[in-house]
Amino acid sequence: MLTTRQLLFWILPIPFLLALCLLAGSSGFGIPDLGTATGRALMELRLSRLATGFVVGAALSCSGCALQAVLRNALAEPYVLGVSSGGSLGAAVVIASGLSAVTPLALPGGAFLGAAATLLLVCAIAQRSSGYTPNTLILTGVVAGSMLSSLLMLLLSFARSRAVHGITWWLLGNLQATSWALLSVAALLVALALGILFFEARALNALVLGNETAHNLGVRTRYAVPAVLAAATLSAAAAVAVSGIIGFVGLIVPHALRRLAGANHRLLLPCCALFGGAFLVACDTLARTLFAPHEIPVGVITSLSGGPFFFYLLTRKGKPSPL
Amino acid sequence: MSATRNRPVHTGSGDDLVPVFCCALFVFLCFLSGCVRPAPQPDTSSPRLVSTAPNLTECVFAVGAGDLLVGRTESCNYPPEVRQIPSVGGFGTPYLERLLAARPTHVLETVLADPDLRHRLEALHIPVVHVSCTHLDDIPQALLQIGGLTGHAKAAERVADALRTGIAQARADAASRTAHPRVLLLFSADSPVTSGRRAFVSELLELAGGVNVGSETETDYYHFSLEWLLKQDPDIVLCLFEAAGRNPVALFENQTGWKALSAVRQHRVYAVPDLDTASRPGPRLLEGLAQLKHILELDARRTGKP
Repeated sequence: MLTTRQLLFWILPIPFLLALCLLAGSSGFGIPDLGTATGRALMELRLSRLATGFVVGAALSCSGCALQAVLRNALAEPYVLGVSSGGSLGAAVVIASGLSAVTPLALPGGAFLGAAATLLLVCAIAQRSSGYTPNTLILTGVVAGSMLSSLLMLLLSFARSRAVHGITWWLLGNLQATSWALLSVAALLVALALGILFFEARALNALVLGNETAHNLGVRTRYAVPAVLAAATLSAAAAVAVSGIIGFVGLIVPHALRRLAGANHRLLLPCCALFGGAFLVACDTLARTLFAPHEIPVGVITSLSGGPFFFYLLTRKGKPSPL
Repeated sequence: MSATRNRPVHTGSGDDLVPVFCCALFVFLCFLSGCVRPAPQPDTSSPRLVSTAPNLTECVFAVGAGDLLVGRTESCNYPPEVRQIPSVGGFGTPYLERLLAARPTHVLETVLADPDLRHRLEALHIPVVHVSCTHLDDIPQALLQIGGLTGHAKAAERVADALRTGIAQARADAASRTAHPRVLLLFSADSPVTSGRRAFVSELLELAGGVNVGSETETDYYHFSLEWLLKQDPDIVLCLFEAAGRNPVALFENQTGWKALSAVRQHRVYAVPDLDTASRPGPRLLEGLAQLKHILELDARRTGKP
């Protein structure tokens, strides 16, 4: 664990890193000539991509962090409640039905609706069975997720090859938001969700010890647990709607930061937002520049670069992570 | 006495056996459902063909051997009489059982999703004939090959000659043109996919007098970054996906990056009406070529460039 001063030492380079990512692109390093229309468009494109990457990275990391705490499971991640499968199915239906060729907003809309419907279904079933106990939630999420994935497989086996191609591309995840309007809506949803999570940070600290202990410590678990679940999944759903399925960020960033910044969620959650966002932006920059003009899925970079760093943290001598 | 005691405890009557019997019957029926009538020794005089690609189906019909075709794919939709032939699976993905049920003497393939299928068919003494249809100049050759196989060599010769003449003439036309608009071939509304110069459509576009902006890449289909596209800034965006009869410009006008393209700002975005002829490496390639030419001419007239 780092002291506050050491943590600042880690935070300070982030703006420089983001600026560096803004300068890099498949058309060359540096600020494009803003005098020309193409140059301005290039800059707008990079800015939009950077903003999308930051919002999605922050949303996924915070969502993963909160879910790991409230479900008390080290393997919990933003998609554990089936959001990814629901979102994928929604997006796939939109692509296969040809709606996505009508308006660019159909795809994120379909994905968000699919994800939100899945969350409601999972919560309703989990509540009926035994309230919001972690194991029931995880099991319900995993079962609902695999059922929805099977429906997706069924759809894929009947879809035409062009639609299959589009669906696969969407599933790999991509940080090119189609418009600023869409990005602002998603950012607003994420900001709302993160606001709720920050507000419940104290409750999260207690919930790590278990629902009962948290209740005895004065946390109103009956409200706090559903609020955290809903907020975490809402932010994941908004991220999925904009960018498709991007793995690894929501699982590893919170774990890595827990080792660096400690398990106090009042500090951990803001760190997750900051580092998660910056991490995804940096990975995306590599994804779009390494093999230009080809673009590779950003998930490839997130796991290949984040994985070794996490192994380093894991084997480093020091206090083990509290989760 | 002791005999009765040693008897296995079995209190129920024969009713207990009903589910077991049902299961056995079900399993037996499952096996039966896969059975096909034993294939009689194939008659060598007239081959029975199964095509595993829509362009090969078109080639078979083009040389006049459509009556020899006993199996097709789901994607085969031309000529219309192809509907009467039973389908044996998808493009490059035939179902072995349905394929065998058609009792073919030869299976035609240009690309198979599962290369192992070739060995399995050959183990069953069904020859798999590979017909190369990747490039423009492969098509006349493919027609001759299929003509030779089906005993329609003369007709194949005629069709192949017509194609060769058409291609040569288009090459001469394209070379004499002064303006060669730079075109982005876009294959999907959902994902940024274009093709390098090795793709068939790319060759067809060059033949029509355009230049594919993706042609600097060797590969056939790939995902591009929008930044690369902005840098290329093509004159025309050619949409090779179903636009549902809409003007495809509307898709891009509000999208970050896309809306800054000169092609989008000047509304030089076109949808290819019949995707089959434009993207199928088959005997109708001249029709596909005519479509692309028509679009380029329309664009030249609109923008006032010869």
